[in-house]
Formats: sequence, C-alpha cells, structure tokens
Amino acid sequence: MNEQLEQQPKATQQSPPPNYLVWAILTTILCCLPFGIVSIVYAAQVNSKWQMGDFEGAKLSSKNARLWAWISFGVALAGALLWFLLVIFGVFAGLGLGMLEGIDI
Amino acid sequence: MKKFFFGGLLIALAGLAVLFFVLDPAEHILFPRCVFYSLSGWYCPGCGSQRAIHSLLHLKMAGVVQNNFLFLPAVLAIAFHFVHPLFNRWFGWKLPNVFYMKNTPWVIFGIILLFWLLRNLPFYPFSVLAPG
Repeated sequence: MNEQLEQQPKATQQSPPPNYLVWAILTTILCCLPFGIVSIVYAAQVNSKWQMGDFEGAKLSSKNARLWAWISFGVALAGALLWFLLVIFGVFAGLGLGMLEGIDI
Repeated sequence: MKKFFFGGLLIALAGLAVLFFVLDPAEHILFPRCVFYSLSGWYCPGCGSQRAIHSLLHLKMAGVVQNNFLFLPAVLAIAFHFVHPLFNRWFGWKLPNVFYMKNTPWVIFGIILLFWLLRNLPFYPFSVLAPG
C-alpha cells in the first residue's frame, strides 16, 4: 500500500497552487491600471507549469499572481484615497475662494 | 479576530453598495476617476465599472452593458467560481473548476486585451464599447 502511494508523483496527490485568476479579473475589470493583466499572465503560468510538472515554478507563479493582484488593488485603493483627499481639499479651497469673493476691496 | 475582519469587510461592502445605489457615479465628483484614463486619455478595461455597478444595483441591464461590456461576464464568472463547489456538494453535480484549466487564463487575457484595444477605436461599431 505504502509503496503504491510513494510511487505516485507528488502532483496527483495535491491540487495545483491557487492561481488567483478570479482576483486578477476582479482587479482588472474594477480598477484602472494594467497590473491586473500581469496577474492574469502569472495565473496562466501557474496552470501550464503545473501540468508540465514544474511544481516549484507553479508555486512561484502563484505567489507572483497573488502579489500583482494585491498591487493592482492597492494602487486602485491609493488612487481612490488620493481622489477623496483632492475632493475634500477642493471643496475647502472652493469655500475659501467663496469667502474671498465676499470681501469687497 | 477573523470574524471581526470579515464582519467589518461586509459592513464596508454594504456601505459601498448603498453609496453606489443612491449616488450616480456619472454625476458626482465624489467617485474617483480612472487613473489610466486621466493620465492617457484612453479607456482601460475597467472604465465604466462604477457606473455599471450603479446600473446593476438599479437592475438596469442595458446601462450595465453600455458602461462596461465585460462587467456582467466578469461578475458571473467570479460568482461561478465561488458558487460551483457548493452546487457540486448539494446537488451532486460535476461542474468543472474552469479557472484551473490550462488555457482559461490565456483566453481571458486575450479577451481583455482585445476589449481594451477595441473600445478605444472612435468609430462604429467599436465606439459602442466605450463607456457611457
């Protein structure tokens, strides 16, 4: 029994590493910079490397896919926060200008 | 700890959904503009998604498709990813895990790149793909 198990290649005993393709799609369609595309390419590498038997390479690509999905999300979040700051700043600047207009010189 | 995290995430998502339902991103300055579009003047594959969310929450499917042609397929694909293991368990179906097939990422990669290119062409019929 044990010998049979050991003869099996490692790959058939476990599933491939996560390719995070869903998150890549999510960040690509829902946010703006092309980093989600990078994540999709790494996701493709996870699947193909796993099927070729390059398990270490598949794991590395999996890590990179996750990294770039997070980068894509992080940049979108940072952009959104920056936008809010600009809006708030703009509103206050507008209020300030409004006050200036009220002063007759 | 994890419970609190997911609870907070759920509340944040619900708050965002309410915000996107009440306010139209096309009319309010509060919603961030696409960074890529602002810098380059070109649409990216995600342009129009905020307006698409607004339309989706109002169940205006035409608005969703007009603003971002890939938005609905993307949402359905993501929903499938999370729901299909449950269906397989409950009903004994054998829905495949599509995202782990060898060529799926490349097909999606191709579709998104093609969409990105075509929606920036300023003439009919491709101009239909531009958001708005």
